[in-house]
Order: sequence, then C-alpha cells, then structure tokens
Amino acid sequence: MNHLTVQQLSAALDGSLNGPSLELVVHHLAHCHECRDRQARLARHDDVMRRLLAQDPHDLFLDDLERRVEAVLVAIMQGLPVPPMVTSSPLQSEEDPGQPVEPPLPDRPELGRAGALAHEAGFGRIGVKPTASTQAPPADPAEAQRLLESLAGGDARELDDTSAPSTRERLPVDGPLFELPKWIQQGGTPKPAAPKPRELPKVQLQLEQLGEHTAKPAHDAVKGASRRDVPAADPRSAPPSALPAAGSPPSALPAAGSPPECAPAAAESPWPRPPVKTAPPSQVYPAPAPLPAAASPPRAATQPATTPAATPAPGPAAARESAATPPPRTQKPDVVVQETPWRKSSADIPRPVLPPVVVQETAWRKSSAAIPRPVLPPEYRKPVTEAYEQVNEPPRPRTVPRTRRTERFAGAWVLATATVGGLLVLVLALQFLPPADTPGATAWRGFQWSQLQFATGDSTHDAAPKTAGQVMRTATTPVPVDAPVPRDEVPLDAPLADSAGVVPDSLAATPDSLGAAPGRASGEK
Amino acid sequence: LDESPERPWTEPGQDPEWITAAQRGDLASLRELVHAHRRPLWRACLAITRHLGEAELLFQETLAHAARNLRAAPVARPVLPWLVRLARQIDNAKLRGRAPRPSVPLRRPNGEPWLAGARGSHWVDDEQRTLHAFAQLHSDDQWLLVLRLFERLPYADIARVTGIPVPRVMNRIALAREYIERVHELGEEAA
Repeated sequence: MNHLTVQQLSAALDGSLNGPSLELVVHHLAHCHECRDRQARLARHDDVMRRLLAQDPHDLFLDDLERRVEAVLVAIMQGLPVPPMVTSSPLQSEEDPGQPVEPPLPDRPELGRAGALAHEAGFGRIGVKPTASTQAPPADPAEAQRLLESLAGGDARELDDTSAPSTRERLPVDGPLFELPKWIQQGGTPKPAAPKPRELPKVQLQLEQLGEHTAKPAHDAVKGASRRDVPAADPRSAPPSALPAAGSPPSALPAAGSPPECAPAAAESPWPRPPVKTAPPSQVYPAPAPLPAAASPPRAATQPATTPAATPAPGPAAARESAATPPPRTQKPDVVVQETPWRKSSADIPRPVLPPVVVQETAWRKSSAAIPRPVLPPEYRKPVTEAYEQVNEPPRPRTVPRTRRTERFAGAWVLATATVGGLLVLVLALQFLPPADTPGATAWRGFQWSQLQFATGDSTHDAAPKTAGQVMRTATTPVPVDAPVPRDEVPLDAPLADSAGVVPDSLAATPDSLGAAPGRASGEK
Repeated sequence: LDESPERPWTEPGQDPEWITAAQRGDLASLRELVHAHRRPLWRACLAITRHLGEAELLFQETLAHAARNLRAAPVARPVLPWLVRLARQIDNAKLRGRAPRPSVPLRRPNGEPWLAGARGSHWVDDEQRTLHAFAQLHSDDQWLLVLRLFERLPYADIARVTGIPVPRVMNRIALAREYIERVHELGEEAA
C-alpha cells in the first residue's frame, strides 16, 4: 500500500488540493491510520509554531514601540542625530541565565526584615530554589538578652528595628490599620512606669527538726559554696603533708574560716580536703560567730543562704522578730529559710506559730467506703501514626464489672429453667385428665399423648390387643402374615383320615419324614 | 480550511500614496505607513529573531533603514514585502561573522518564562523541540513557513511575494514540515 507523500499531506493541511488529488487524499486518509497520524503530527507542529511565534502583541506594546520608532524617524527625516534605540526587554546577549524567570514580587512590609531576607534567598518565588537553608536560623542569645533588657527598660524601639525600615514606610500595609499610641504619634519616648515591688508568691520553708540526713543537702550546698572560689586540685597532686597517712582517718577538723557544717562533710569525703585556708576567709565564707550558749544564728533568717556575708549576723532577738513577722512585700528575697543547720542545736528558739491544718473529713472516709484510687498519671497518648479518629477518640469508659454480667446471666438461666419446668409439669398434669369421649369426663378435656400409655388399672384405657382376634380390621387392612394360627383350626400338616377316622399307613407320615417345625411341638397336633 | 488573510502582502492599498508623500518629506505619511504595517512587520521580526528584545531592535532598525532609503522603496507595489526583505537582510548582516543565535532562548519568544504549569513538562519539551527544529531550517524555508503558517498566505501569494514558483513553494514547505517532524522525533528518541 502506497502511503501519501509529505507533499500531499502538507498540501492537504494547507487546503490547496482540489479535484482528483483531493479525492485521492481523502480516500486514502479514510483507510490509512498511519497517514492520518502523520498528518496529525504535522498539524501539531504547525500549531506549536503558531503558538510560539505568531502571537499578536498588545496594542499598548505596539504603541510604545511605534512611539520610539517615530523619534528615530523624525530624527532621520529632519537630519538630526539619531537617538539610541531602546528596547523594553534585554537583548539576547544581555540576558542573565541566573536571572529568575518570574518577575520580582512586591515587597511585604508586614514581614519585616525577615521577609526581605527570605525573598532575597528565593523563598516564595516560583521556579526558584531557595539558596539559603530551610532551617530556622540559630538564635543569638546575646541579641535576645539585649532586646529583652531594652524591652524591660521600656524601650520598644529595639524590636521595631528588626523590621525593614525602608519597606515599612514607603509601602502600604495590607493588614488592618490601628491607631498608634499618642506618645508614638507625638514622637516622644515612653516613660517607664514607677517601679513596683515584685509580687510573686512567697515560699516559706519550715524545716522542723532537721535530722542528719535531712540537713545533708544544706551541707552539700554550703560545701559547694565554700569550695566555689577555690580551684579544683587533684588530690593526688597535693603535697604529701596534706595527704592523710595510710589507714588514718581523714581530718575531721574544718579549715579556718569554714562553717562548722563542713566538718562532717569533710569527714565523709574519702579524699582529703583541698587547702581551703589558702583563700581569704572573707571571700569564702564569713567567720561564724562563736556559738552562744543558747543559740547562735549567724545571719538573719530573711537572708538568702547563698549571700551570708552581705549582712552582719544579727542576734537571736532579731531572728525571733524576723521569724514571727513576715517580711515586707517590697523585700527582694522571696524564699524565706527559717531553719538553718546552725539551729539544729538551738532548741529554745521559738518556732513560728503555724495555723493548724484542718483536714476536712471526706465523705468516703466518714462512710469507710472504698478508698478512692490515687491520682494516676495520665494515659499514654498513642503516637500519631494511626487514623485521626483513633487517635482523637475520647477515652473509652470502663467496662462493666463481670459480676454484674454474671448476675444477669444467672437470672436469665433461672427464668428459662422455670419456664421449661412449668411446661413439663403442665404436660404431665394434662395426662391424668380423662379424655373427652370417656363417660364422666368434664367439658375441659385434657391432652392425650398417644405415645404415652400409663398402666393406671383402668380397663377403659387398656387398649392393647391381647389376642389376634381382637384386632380390628377393615377392608383395607392387610392381613398380617405373622398372625398366629388359631388353635381350633386344623393344621395343614394333619394326616388324612377316612370317614372312620382311620389314617392309612401309606398316607400316614411320620414327623421325621415331613420335618418337624421348630416351633411346632407334637402336642400341638 | 483557511481564513482569508489580509492583503498587505500582495495588494498595495495606500502604500504608493504614503510612500510618495514620504519621499517628498511628509512625516505624517511615513507615520501612517508605519502604523498600517506595524503588526505584520512585528510578527516577521519576531519570527526572524525568535527573541523579544532582538525583535524590538530589528523593528526599529528596519524602519530606520527604510526611512533612510525611501527612494528605493517600491511605489507601485506593496511596501510590506520590501520592509520584511530589509529586516531579513539586516538580521543576516548582523549575524554575519558571529555565532548563530541559540535555537532555544532562555525565555519564550514572547518574553514569558518556560513554565509548563498544569500542562506538564512534556508540553514545554514539545515546544522547545519544535522551536529548535524551526531554527535549524534555512532562512528561506523559515520565511516560507512564516508566510504560510503565520501570515496564512496561499501558495500563490507566497510565490508572488517571494518570487518562487508555486510547485517549488509547495515542495519546500512540505520538506520543511517533514524536517521539523524528523528533528522532533529524534529529540523524543534522545529523551
């Protein structure tokens, strides 16, 4: 089969065929799918070329281009120097391969400087892969601290500087507009408010009867405070004189200037203590006042434990006052430690009278009912790898205890048993009622079960046939083949006899010759 | 099958009057002439250069060259074929001794980016292969296809504009289409 040439297909596409040539091409195209496909491909290429190169520009573009041409033509016609020709788009040699294909988006002033940086990095532009990392930039703690300090000082301009100032002023904000405060509109600076005391909940630690183990954390804290200014030294590099002898107990005496509670800590440490005495006592810890006979609180109760050298050690009277009266609200320290290790031995210091704790008797405690379950930790949340409905479904209620189900099941079992038993009793009771056809029977007749026969002694109910002759037969009743032969009938095997009743010997047959039937005895003859 | 094209290519219309007036120095006639032929001339410049900026420059250079050589303009014939011939000569002169233009520029010939959008990447690939095949054609064959596909001129008008016999016009256009199809198939096989 000869296919159409490309000239025929091209001419058919252009509509320049007529007459027999057109008929031939149409007839062939109707039967040849290959030529139809080829013609379709040629038509598709024509459409692509038209779409790329034959687009009519907008009139505004042509007007602008014509205006530029007129300037050139006027200069040429009037003999003036020709102005440089200007194009609205770059020439092919001036194109930048790295230039984004999309036009730049308008600035978003509400995004601030971060939005400008993201736009420069390529975020939000179609077809441009962001050059910067998609991860959030690391935070600068120093810068954040500076901003927080400036904000705490009442100067919010530092935060405003984080946005792009150039885009903030010249472009309108597409978000909701609101009125700025008056002090901003007047160009003034905000006036910081009067300092107010910090209103934080105060915690009063009432350490009652500190024991040896209870006071250990305080010991450790003091130990750390005393050793804070001393560089850590390797005990193995200590001078031999400072090392204890082998087998000798470590030194239990604290260094000069160290608090007395350092002694047990030093005694417990297996390593020798660093030379604490090398540090000046005023820097390490204040020298404790000699313990008075009654009590010797070395510092005020309202003073933090970490700054003992800030205030001199007041007397016990001041400690009592501070312990009895709560500190004013303007005081800085919020944690009031009213018991220190120094007071372990001071038993005569009056303790602050605490309000009695009234424990309300709960209902379950009064009724001695089941003790409520303690607060359990929240249920483990399933990871969000399942369906949304399964993850967010409310917690299912607790299942009903099995005891209640057992009781309900037992009740149903008893009811079913009683019903079946009642029916059986009713059936048995109906068996004893007389039938309807019996004389003396009542109008309410009972149910007669034909298969059930009871030997009640009543002759009317004894319907079992005792002999074969009592069996009722009808015309259609077949004769029973196994019915017993009546005794008064002559047996078939009886010997023939003459009129006199004498049986001839020739005809007489012995029972042996005829064969005795198994059940036929000689007495039955 | 084919729309009846405008006749600026074959019918002179008011071109002789405008040309005659422009030759006498009438600037308004020259403006009228430019305004009447600006759209087909722009299409021809864009098809020749396949680039938006280059087409703008070629459009201005062609009209500037025509304004300088008004005395050589045809008086009794349509001006548009003469303008397009000037544009082709200017473009050939610019590219003489230089590297040829890239067959597929960075953007579409109309300045838009090569974005497929919802049509898929094969849409852009198809366009670029076709444009590459068109760029590989001889300039005369390109011009024949431009007159046939873009300007929708019949074979007889194309023969009259270009001076080539009709059978040869038909054959060259058919072979140009076959060449484009072949290059397109090779591009698809390579992909």
